[in-house]
Amino acid sequence: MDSKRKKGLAILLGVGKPEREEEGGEMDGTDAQREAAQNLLDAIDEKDVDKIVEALNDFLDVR
Amino acid sequence: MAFDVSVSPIYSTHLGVVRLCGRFYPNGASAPTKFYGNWISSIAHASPGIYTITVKPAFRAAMSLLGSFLSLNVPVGGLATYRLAFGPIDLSAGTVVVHSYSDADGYYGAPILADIAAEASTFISVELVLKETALADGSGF
Repeated sequence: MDSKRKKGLAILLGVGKPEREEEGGEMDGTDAQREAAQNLLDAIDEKDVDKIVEALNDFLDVR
Repeated sequence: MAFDVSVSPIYSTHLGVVRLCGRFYPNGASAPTKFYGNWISSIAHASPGIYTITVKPAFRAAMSLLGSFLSLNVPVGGLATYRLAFGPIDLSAGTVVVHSYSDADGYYGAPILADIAAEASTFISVELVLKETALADGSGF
C-alpha cells in the first residue's frame, strides 16, 4: 500500500495514524468500514462519478 | 445512475453533475429537528435567518478528499415569501451555512435575515455539487 493510499485511509477512518499498520497493528474501523473506505478511494482514483456516489453512499452507511 | 428522491441518501445525477442532497424543515426560531440526508449530522439555529448544517464526521472526512470537486448549488425550491442563500462550505469545521431572507427589503433594498416560521411545513433543499468535469480534469485527490 503506497503512502498516498495510507493517508487517504487514515483520513476516512479517522485515525490519522497510518504508520500503526507498519508497526504490526491495524487501522481502526471494522472490516466493513475499511472495505468501504478502500472502495471510495478506488472510485476517487478512477475519477468515476457513478462509482464515487455509490462508494460514498456505502461508506456513509457503515461509518 | 439511480435517481432517488424517496429515501435517504438522496443522490441524483444530471448533466455531469452529482448532487448530494439533503433537506430540512425550518422550525421558526428553534433548531430544525426534522432533516434528511445521510451526510447531515445536525442543524443549528444560532441567530435569525442563519442555519448552520454540520456534516457527519465520515462525510467531513470524505469532503476533505473531494473538496476541490465540491461546490454549493443554489437552493432548489424557493419559498413564497423568503429567499435563500448558501454560505461557503467550511471544510475544516465541516459546516455549511444557509441564510434565509425576508422577501421584504430593508433600508436601501438590503435583504433582512429572517427566520422561516410561517412556512415550516415546507422543506428546504440543500445540495452539494460534485462536478464530473472537475474529476475529468484530473485535479484533486
